[in-house]
Amino acid sequence: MSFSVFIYLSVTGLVSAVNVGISPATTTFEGVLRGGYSEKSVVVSADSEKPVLIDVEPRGEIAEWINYSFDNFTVSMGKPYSLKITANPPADVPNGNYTGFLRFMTAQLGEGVEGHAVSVVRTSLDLTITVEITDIEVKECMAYNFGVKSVEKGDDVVFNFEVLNRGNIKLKPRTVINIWDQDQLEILKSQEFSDKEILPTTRGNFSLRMDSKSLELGQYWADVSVIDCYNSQTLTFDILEPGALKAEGVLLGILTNKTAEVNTNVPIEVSFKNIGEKDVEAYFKGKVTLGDKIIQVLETDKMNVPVSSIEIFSLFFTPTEPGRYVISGRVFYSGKKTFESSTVLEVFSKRLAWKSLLLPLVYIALMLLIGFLFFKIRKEKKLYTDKLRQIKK
Amino acid sequence: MVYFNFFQLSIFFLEAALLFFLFFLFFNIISQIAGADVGENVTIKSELEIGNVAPIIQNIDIEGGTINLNPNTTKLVNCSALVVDYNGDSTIQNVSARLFDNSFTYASPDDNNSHYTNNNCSLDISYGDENTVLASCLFNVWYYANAGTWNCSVFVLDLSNISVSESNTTQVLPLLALSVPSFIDYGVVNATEVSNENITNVTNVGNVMFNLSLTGYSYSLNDNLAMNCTLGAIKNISVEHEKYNLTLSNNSVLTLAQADATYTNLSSTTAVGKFNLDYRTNDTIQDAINATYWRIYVPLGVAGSCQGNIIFGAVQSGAS
Repeated sequence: MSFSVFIYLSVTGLVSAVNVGISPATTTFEGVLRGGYSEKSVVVSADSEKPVLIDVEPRGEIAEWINYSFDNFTVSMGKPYSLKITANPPADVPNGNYTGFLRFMTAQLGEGVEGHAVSVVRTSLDLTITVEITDIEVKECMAYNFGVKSVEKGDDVVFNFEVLNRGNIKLKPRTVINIWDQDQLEILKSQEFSDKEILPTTRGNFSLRMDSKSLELGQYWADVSVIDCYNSQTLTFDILEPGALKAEGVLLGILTNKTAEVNTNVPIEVSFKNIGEKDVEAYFKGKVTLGDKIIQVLETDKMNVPVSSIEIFSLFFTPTEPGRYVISGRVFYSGKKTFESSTVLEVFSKRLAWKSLLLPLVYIALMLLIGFLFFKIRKEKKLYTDKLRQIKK
Repeated sequence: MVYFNFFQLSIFFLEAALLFFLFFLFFNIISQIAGADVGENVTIKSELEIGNVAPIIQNIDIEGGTINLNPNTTKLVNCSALVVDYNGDSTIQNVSARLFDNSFTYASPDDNNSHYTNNNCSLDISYGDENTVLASCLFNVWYYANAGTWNCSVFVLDLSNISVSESNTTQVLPLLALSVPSFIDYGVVNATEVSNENITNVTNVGNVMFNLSLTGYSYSLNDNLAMNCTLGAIKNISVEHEKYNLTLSNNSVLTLAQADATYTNLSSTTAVGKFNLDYRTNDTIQDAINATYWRIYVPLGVAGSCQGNIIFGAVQSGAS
C-alpha cells in the first residue's frame, strides 16, 4: 500500500499539464461615458499541440456590462486567440472606477484513475478589468494610411484612409477633399464627407469616391483633410486615357553632406525611381536657398529612366558664405512632377583649427630642443678638447 | 690621438644629424603653416564624400508595437529595420540588434528577463530597390521577460566601416500564466481514513506575480462535492473533505481532526489564497515554483473509483 502511494506521488509531480496564459493580465477601460462603448482585446495562448477549449465567464460588479466576441474557443501552440472585449456601461451608473474579472477557464486537463481517488485539474486565469466611468466627453482621433490611385477618365477617384477613434464618443469624421491643378494654383473640385460612424476606441477604413468627369487628362493634386482628427495629407493622382500606361515616379531623396566649409564644392545627388508602367524622361529642377534668398537654381539634363529603375542626378554647389542652406526641388517627368523634397546643408567658415596648429607647435618645441642639445654638445666638446689639450701637454 | 680623432668625428656626425633634423623640422613647419590655409590663395580640396555615404535606418518595427509572450516557452520577436544605403544594398556589411528592457542599457549583459542580442540579423536585399535592404533581427524572447517598455537598437555597419544606429520602443505586455499537473491522484484511500499528502507544484509560466484561487466540485460548479464515486451507499465525498495547505507540508499519517487543524478545507465557492508566486528570474533554474499540499478524507459509505475537479486559478497580485 505505502509503496503504491509513493509511486502515485511521484507520477503526480511529473504529470505535465497544459500551460495557458492571458496577455495582458489586467485591462482598464479609461474614460468611458455612461451608456458609452469601449473596446479592448486580450490574447489567450497555450503551449499545447492539442487544441485546448477555453470557456469565458465575466465576474464582479461589471459582469453585466462586459461583452466579448465568443463564450468559448480553442487555443493551441502557435494559434493564440485574440478575444475582443467591450464595455457597455448602463446609462444611469455614477462616475467612478468599477472592477470585475473575465475568467478564462480550461476544460478538464486530465482523467480519473481506476480504483483511485482522483481530482482532475482545470485552470483558470482571471483578467482583472477596471472600467472608469466619466461624464466628460473626449473627441480625439487619428487619420493615417492615406492613399489614392490613378484612374481612367470617367471613373471615380477613390481616396482611402483609416481613422482610429481615440475618444469616448461616436465619431463621424468630417473630411474635406480639395483637388488642385498640376501647378497647385487653383482648386478645381472640392467635396465634404461625413457619413461613416466609428465607435469609440475602434478603427475604421474609409473609401471616399469623387466624380472625375469634369477633370481632363493629366496630373492632379489632392489635399485630404480629416478635420475632426487634425490630420491631412497631400496626394497626387492621374486621370488616364482608357488603356493608357501609367507614368509614375518618386523622388527618393536629395542627398548631400550634412556640413561643408565655405568655398568647397558640395556634391548633391538626387535619387528618382520610376514606379510606373512605362519608361520616362526625367530631370531635376530645384533651388538652393539661404534664408529667404535664392542662392542658386539647380537643373539637370534629361535622363531616360526605365521602368522599376533608379537614376541619380548629380549636381554641385559651392557655398560662398556660411549659413544654413536648404536644397529643395522636384523631378519632372512625362509632363508630371513629383512631391517636393528638401535637405539641409550647414556651411561653416574656414578657421585655423587647433588641430592644425598642434603639429607646428610640436615641431617648434622639437627645434628648440635640438638647439639646446646643439648648444650643450658644443659646450661639452669645448671642455673635453681643452682637457685633452692639457693632457697632451 | 686615435681616441681624440674618434671623439671629434662622433661629435661632427652628431652635430650634422641634429642640423639635418633641424632643417627637416623647419621645412615641415613651413609647409604645415602654408597648408593651414590662412590666406585666400590656397588650393581648395573638393570633398567628394558621396562615394561613401553612411547607411540610413529609415524605420524600425517591433511586432507592430506590442509583444504578447507565450506561456512556458519563447516568442519569436522580429525587430525589422528598413536600411537604405545609396552606395547599394550589397555594401551593407552587417546588421546587429539588441532588444532590452528600457530600464537597462544597450551594454547590459544578456539576460532572459531583460536583454537579448542578435549579432547577425538576416538581410533581405531583394526587398525594395537596389539601395534598400530589410534586416530581420529575430529574438527568442522568453515568457518571463520583464513586462514594460523595451527598446530595440539596431546597429548597421557598411563595407567602408561607416556605422549608424537607431532605436525604437515597444511594449512587452504582462502575461498571466500558470502551470499545474493535470490531476491530483490520492491513490488508494480506505474509507474513514485521510489520504497521504499529495504535493502538487504550481509554476508561474508568465511574467507577473499571481495569487492562487481554488475551487472544488464534482459534477457541476457549486455542487458542494469534492468527488463522486462508483460504489458505496453515499457515492460522493463532500467538498470540505478535500483539504490543502499552500505553505506547509506534513507528511505524517493524520486523523481527520489532525488534518482539519493543519489544512484548509476546499470550497465550492472560489477562495483566493495569498500565494504571491513571482515570475522566473533565473535563466538556468526554474525558480518560480511553489508546492501546494493536498489530502482527502474518505468518509464511510464510499467505495470504488472516485473522481472530482479542482480549479486552480491565477489572478495578478502585487507590483511585478
